[in-house]
Amino acid sequence: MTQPKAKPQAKLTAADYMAMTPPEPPYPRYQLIEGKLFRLPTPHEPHQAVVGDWLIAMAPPANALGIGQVIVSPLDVTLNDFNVFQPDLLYVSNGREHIFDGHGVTGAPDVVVEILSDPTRRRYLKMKLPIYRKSGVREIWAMDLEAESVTVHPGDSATPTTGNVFTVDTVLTSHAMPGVAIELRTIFARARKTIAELFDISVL
Amino acid sequence: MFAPHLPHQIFAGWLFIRLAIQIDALGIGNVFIAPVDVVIDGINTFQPDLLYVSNGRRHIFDGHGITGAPDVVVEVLSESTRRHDLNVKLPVYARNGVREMWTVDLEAETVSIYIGDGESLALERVYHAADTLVSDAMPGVAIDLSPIFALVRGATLPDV
Repeated sequence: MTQPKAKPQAKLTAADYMAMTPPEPPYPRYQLIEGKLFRLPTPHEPHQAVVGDWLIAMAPPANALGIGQVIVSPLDVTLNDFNVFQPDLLYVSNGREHIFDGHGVTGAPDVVVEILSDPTRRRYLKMKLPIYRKSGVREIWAMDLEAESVTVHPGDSATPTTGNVFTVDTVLTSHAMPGVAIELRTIFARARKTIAELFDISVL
Repeated sequence: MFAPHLPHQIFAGWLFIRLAIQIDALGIGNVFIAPVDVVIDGINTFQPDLLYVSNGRRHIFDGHGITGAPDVVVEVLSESTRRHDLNVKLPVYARNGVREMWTVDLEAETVSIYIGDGESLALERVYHAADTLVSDAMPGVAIDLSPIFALVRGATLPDV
């Protein structure tokens, strides 16, 4: 019996990804990273609880100030021909609405938020960071639930940096979202409360 | 493609925000936004767009996920999921004890409320864009639908 020869796998394009039929329930989610499909684990409820807390912290002020829109995942964000990501949240400032493509986003949001609640998501962020940078995302906010910190990675720096770390006692402000102040204590406290009341902490 | 369309996410996001703020203030339960796996019975696991669990039904949080019927599930209908939501998911939600199912039609700008009796979920009322939504399952909550539909409309107009 002969094994079929392994062929070098052709890269998938964003167009290939968009042409794929959404699978049957329970609807696994995928991202396209450098032409390869990577399955996203279904988030634990604590992850989604935190996503909700960020949405509440970001969207109403952005809307009230009239500076732009915050959209919650899952939304397909096509950064280039070989990369379609689904950040947990994204912010698009007024003036950049042209990146809304009728389905999701084609182009760079101003800000993406990634919540690192499991090893898979940590690994994916390492792969995604340089691509976010190259594509013109202004800031990548990475929330580390264990370390209780948020690292703001500037997208426009020529060399990769370790980012600015906001700890749990600080208020996150950003030139990318002028006027919006996010009290991280509130978000982490809410996350802790939800997790303590409803979940086994070990899932994080 | 593996993600819903933008208008779907805008509606789900803003309904979540309005519900979560009121539900938190009242302290009556918890609301979650998809994707959260709900193991509704032995053979069905769904991911409703939003779900609400009252304090009295907290036992359905099993430490890892949700096993059982939330009080309320919300499905924002889309062309590709409409039939599945109404023909497949609704009867399963119904016979497993979901109290209310809300279905959102973004084109018609309506929210339909189905009320459950433990066996079936029957359409009871339809809210339009100018209405304020209230629910027996969430006493004290009132959601003004007009700003939410306006945000969806604004975001989906070309060149806005």
